[in-house]
Amino acid sequence: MAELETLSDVVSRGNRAEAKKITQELIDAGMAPGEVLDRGLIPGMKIIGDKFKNNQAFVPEMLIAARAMKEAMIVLEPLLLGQGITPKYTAVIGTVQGDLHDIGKNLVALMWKGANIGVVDLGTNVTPAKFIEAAREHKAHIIGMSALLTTTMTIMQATIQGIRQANLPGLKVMVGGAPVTQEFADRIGADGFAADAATAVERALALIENTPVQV
Amino acid sequence: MIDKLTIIGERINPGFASSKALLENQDIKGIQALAVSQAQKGAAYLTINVGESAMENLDFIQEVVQAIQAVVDVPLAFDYPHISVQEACLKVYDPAKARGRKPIINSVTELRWNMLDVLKIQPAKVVLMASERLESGEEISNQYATQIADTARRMALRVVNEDYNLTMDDLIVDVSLCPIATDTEAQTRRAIESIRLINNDPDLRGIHTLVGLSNLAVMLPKDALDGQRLGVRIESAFLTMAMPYGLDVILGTPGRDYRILPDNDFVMQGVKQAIDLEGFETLERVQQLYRRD
Repeated sequence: MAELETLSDVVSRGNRAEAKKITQELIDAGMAPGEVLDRGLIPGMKIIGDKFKNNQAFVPEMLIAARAMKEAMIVLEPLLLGQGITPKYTAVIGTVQGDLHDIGKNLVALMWKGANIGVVDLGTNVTPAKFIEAAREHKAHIIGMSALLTTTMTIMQATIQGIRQANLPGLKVMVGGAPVTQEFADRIGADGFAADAATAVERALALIENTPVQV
Repeated sequence: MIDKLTIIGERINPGFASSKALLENQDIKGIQALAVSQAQKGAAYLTINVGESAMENLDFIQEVVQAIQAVVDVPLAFDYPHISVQEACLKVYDPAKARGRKPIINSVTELRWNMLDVLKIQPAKVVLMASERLESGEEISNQYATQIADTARRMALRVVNEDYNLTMDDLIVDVSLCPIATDTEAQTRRAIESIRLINNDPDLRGIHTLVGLSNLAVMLPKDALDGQRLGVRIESAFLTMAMPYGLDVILGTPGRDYRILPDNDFVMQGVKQAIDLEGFETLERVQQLYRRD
């Protein structure tokens, strides 16, 4: 029988055919789909995320690894759903109003999915009201907000103010994007900031898990 | 340096880590030095973007404009989507200090057409953003080169027909360039095709086309497999392909080693093949520029 470590390895290297094949083999051998996910696929994405942080891998490698995970999830998803297993956490993500850039936002969404966070992607040019509505509807644990322009960064502040007034207890807000800094995040009252998509996974999980969320 | 390529020096912008501190500390002397060094390295224009503070503090950006004009004679390009900031800049910009040359307003979109009203303050060249169009009151991203070229054409003809006293030579179309590291949707090819279509349009003769070239090679390693620099050669490969179709302006870093690359250059070949591919095959071809397995 194939090994979980082999699965992690092929996912991290972006080998989608192998990722799918090994996932199927593990399932056929009787392994629980949740275990394949938690101990095979997610660690694979963590390997590539760590390499990315250490400059041993770059954005194309991350995208290609995420595609391999997606391929394996084609096998797992129906089984997980059949057992009523859904991602433990839900995130809402989008680029703020007035900003149409989506590359960074998409990378974070990919990496969050790779950590088995359910992601509701609202796209670009997202108004404060849309963020709030989606967070409420999907009982989100965290909102991720991106801005690429120095000029739309300021919209983040207004969006956060709106979220704070919307009475969504326990909901965390993370911000990111090229011009955004930790200092700016602190100033506008965000709960977290990450400089890159791999760090965004750790930060989001730390923020969510340190706080009991009322739903 | 490449002949017939106009470089708008991009460095006065907090997006560059090295410039951020200068702007945040309002270090006028440091900003002046950055302007001088870009001008010495061949910048035809200098971008002015002092960050978000400009909106709250118009005095500062005005001070920057005047301080830069005191030390260089290249015209300036004001990089803000806000009418109030453009107004503030145009109010203090002195063409006499730029040997009579007009500044650039960067940028106008179909959604913020009324920004052109700032031309009442003084004449300027205008960057037209063609990556977005206005449709039933909403701003929509253009997906195809034909849409980008259509938007460019619609905007350009409208500008010259309205009473702004602008000719095609005053217009610079930004076709928008995306990072090749994430280009699973043939966006680099789309940029080149947009440049070709716009420059081939007989009704737009004399118009200029622009890309923000530094956006292309971000998120990739420093070195190519052949041991030479990767980023500047990806950028050069793009210039080598796009300039024959009429690309003549870039937002870029003056003094950077932009070149027209020979066909047999390792990176030139890779970029050429990568942009002819689709989806993840583009990324896999880009990877071959820097990794062996």
